[in-house]
Amino acid sequence: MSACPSCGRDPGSNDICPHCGADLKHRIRIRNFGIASIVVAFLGLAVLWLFATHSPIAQVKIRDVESSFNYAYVQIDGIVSRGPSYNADSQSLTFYVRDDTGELMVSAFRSAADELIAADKIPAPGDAVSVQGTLRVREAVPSLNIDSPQALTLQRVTENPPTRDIGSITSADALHGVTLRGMVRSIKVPYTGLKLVTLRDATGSIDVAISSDMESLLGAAPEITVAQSIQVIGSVTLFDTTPQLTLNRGSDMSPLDQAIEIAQSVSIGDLRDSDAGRFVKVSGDVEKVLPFSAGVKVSLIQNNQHVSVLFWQDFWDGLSISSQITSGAQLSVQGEVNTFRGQIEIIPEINQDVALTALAPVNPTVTPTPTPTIEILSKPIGQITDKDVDSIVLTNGSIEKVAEFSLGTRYTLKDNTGSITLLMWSDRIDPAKQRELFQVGVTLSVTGKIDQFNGQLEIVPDSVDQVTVISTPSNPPSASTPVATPEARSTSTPGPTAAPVSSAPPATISQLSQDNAGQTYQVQATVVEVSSFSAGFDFLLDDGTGRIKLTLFNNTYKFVPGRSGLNLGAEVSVAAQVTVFKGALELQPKSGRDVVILKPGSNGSVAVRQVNSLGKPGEIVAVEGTLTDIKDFSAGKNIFVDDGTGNVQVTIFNNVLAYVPVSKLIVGAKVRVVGKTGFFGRMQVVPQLGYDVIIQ
Amino acid sequence: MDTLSLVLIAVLGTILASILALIPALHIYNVVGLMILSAGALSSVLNPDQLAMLLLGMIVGYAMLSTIPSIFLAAPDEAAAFIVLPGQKWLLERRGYEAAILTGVGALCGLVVLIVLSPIAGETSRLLQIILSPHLGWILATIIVFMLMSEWPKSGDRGVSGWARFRAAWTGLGAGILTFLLSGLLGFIIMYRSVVPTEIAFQNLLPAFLGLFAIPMVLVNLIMGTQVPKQHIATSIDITPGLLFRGAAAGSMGGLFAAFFPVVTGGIGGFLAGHATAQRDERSFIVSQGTSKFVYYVGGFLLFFLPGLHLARGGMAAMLSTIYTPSTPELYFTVVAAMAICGVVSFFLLILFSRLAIKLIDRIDYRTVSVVTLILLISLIFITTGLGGLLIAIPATAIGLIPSLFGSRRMNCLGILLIPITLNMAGAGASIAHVLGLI
Repeated sequence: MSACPSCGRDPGSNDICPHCGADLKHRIRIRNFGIASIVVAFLGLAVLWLFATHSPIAQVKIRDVESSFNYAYVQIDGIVSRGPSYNADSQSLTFYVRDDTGELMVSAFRSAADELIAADKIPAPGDAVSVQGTLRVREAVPSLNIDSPQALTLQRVTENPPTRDIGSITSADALHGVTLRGMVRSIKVPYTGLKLVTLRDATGSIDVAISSDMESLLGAAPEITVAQSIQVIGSVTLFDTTPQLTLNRGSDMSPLDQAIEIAQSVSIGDLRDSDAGRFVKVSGDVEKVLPFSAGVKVSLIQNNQHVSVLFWQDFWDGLSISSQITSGAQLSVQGEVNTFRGQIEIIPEINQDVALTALAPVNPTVTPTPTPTIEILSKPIGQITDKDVDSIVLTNGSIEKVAEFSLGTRYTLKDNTGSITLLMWSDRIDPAKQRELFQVGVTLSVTGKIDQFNGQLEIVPDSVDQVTVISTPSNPPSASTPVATPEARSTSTPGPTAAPVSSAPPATISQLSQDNAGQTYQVQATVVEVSSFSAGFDFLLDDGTGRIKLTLFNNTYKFVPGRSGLNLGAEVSVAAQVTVFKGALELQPKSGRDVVILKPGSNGSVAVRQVNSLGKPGEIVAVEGTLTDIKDFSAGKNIFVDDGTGNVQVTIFNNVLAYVPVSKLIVGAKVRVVGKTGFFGRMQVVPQLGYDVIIQ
Repeated sequence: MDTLSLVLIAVLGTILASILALIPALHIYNVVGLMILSAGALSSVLNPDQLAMLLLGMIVGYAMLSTIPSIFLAAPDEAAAFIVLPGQKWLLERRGYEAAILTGVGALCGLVVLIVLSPIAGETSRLLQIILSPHLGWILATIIVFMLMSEWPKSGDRGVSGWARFRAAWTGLGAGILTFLLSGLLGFIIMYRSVVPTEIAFQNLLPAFLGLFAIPMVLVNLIMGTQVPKQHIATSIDITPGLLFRGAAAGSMGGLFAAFFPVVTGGIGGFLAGHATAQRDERSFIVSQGTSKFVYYVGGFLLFFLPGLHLARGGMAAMLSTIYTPSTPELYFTVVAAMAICGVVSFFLLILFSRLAIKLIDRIDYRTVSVVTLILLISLIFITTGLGGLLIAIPATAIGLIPSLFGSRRMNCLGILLIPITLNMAGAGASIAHVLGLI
């Protein structure tokens, strides 16, 4: 007796189970279904594999990619528009591809990145690529992940690139390969990871961008020095709208045996206004050496023709032969031709541009060439008449009214004898400095050319150097303030206005106490911490004896000369009033110019951190990555930076934002942000200064 | 008012998902996939935050009510792979209703765990991610090894000779390993060169998962001709506080592990937690699976809203992340509040719909339900992913049938994710795909 396989009861001798009706003779074993399943599984997989491997890979345009394309395996053909960048920690290689419809980020991770590197398949800007991979769409932004070197085919843009003059490179050449030859003019490191080499030939100059990512992946560029002649093969890329050359591999830069001539020798007398922008070489005798507020002007004479050579102060300070450039010495100078106030000047760039061909005679028996002089008439405003048109006049007066127009500003300058229009062309003065100096009620000493417009007399200073503030409404003139004497005549060449020198007594920080509140002292110290608040910025100063906060309100901070250098590590000299705020001592200068940066600082020393390692609030960190999103909020902007390991919100408050080039804040831009970490619902990085946000 | 409207939308989502969960084998991800596809059209009705809240409500409802088809209609999804045996056993013992409620109680425990953890979830997840990220590859490999090695021979004690007993023992084990390897191969094909149309590629896994899990269960029901006895509606549940706590604790562990860890599903999480806590009692086992599934589905989605982290874990977050990222930290707390309300609402819906399901299976023939379900599943695959989807579903179904017909674990079908992703993390995925001619 056996049980019914269907119901388990005794069917007796029946072929059909009397209990459940199951057919007991014609049955299929369940295991047979299992075997059939295995067969179907193998066959099905084989058919699926055949279809998968033999069907063409979908070729898509970037614009057509939608969120539903997530995980699709596709092919995109285009041009490499940015990158590559390599993150060693996450082992990711990233670059951007552009087709005629849009741009998308392409990444390879871990073994795929390693294989691409090993196969020498790292694309460079301008390379034509065909890339196959898996689409990833996050928040409607697509990217492509490639899995193997076989998924990438590329045509190098730097294969047989044409040799071009630097001056011929324009933005239209972007993403084209070129060979350039020239002389290295400067080597700068704007931030860790990027080196900029300025290259010049006889037609112009261009920056060569060398990324440390490229060097670590494809070999370092050879060591080069300023004034060395080199050849560079690379892709033209744009920094903002300015063309630059991106070096794609270290070996594409090579030193040249022969020096590249970057300047044509010309006679001083042949120089014309139309030469502005050209790089030329001139020789002549030093006629005069005239220091001015921002540097030194050296007048060269050749065959009774004069030209000024302009040395900026930092250049002059670093020029080893500067002490030998004296009247009578012979000088050979190459530099860019510039015109300023109708005068041609030569501006050398590097020490090697200046050569002393003969020292000034020790025995001054040679009769010096007569110095041309300009007569300056010193007059009260009421005595300036039509006859003075085209003369140079020195006068004093107070600003009564301000009227801006498209090219500048007209101020009504008045003294007790009359009034005259003081005309400042906007291209001759820094707007910030103009706002600081030219305020209603301020008394000025102005040296300028007298002009007439619509019957109205105007005094037009050449530059802001010819304007001196005698007094402000809140700071009346002291007895020692020089005031022009009416009708006094001067025959001196107009000299530079001296930078204001503080008369505040020096003090160390430890010497300052609450007893000094309200008094003004001169403190020299180093910036050790920066922070911002809604109305300005705080800088913690340390002079070795103690620490004190330097508070710069917005209207003071914006007038700090060279304020980009007012950052961590900067050495500053501050003339400021000691104040007490919430029980703590602070220094509050009255003017931005009371803060003198002796040695600029920077945030370059702040270590770059991976986004996914940010976890502790209150740390000063640097993050580098791609800007993925920008959102406005009531007090500023939130930008989101992705470095491949994560995405972090960067909160830029309005007072900081005022110093950030907002036009460059675009999704996809490479940014470096230094800031303080904070946790406000999510991890954020909060830059404290506008200069803490660097956009490539 | 804005927060209130978001919560109300979430509750609507829960009600919608609760109804959809009654349709056998229809996974909520299939519905959400269609919603994401029509997100453009939906944008005129719902703003992105509202859409996210609707999906939150739906996943809460699904996590709670998908128990009903799992128990009464035997069409579980991959996260419920471990619940089938005790659940169906109770069904055959007329205790299906009690099993459903017990699972729901487990889910409620999971809800409490998520609420309690929500204030510290951000920092903890961030820390865990930093610690675990470099180790994902070998942890996944260990899970695979454990899954395969912990399978035991179920019929090795029968047979007239040693060889017969050896063969009987290894038939099930071999079938498990074969299932794992074949599903891994299927995973490679669809992850690297799917035949699903590009425009719908984000639904790559839909035909494979329906084929591996849903269709085989329906087919087995048809083959076996399961008869469901009349169910008893219990007014109390057979569990002690100690067993409840033990089951909820184990389920929370498994669910949290699965929610946080990429690729690991609720089924695997429950399986690991079950082993870790050595559960033998069926009651605590059922509770733990309810907790695990709820924490896996809802907790995983909650990670997406964590301020500053936005981890896309699980299918729901993966789909939503293609069009949306939460913008404000406040939203996270709204999400937690909505989750709590939706969880409670869905529990009461579970009680209601379980009674309804019992009435339905009393009146409708089980085979009829299976046939209708099969037609529905095939239609869904074809409508969503076309012929390419059917091409994937056929071998997937055959692979999914192997464990059912040879008595091995259906969880081995998760080789579809585990093998390719583990090998990718080990850096070998692309090489194997290349050998297979896929790239």
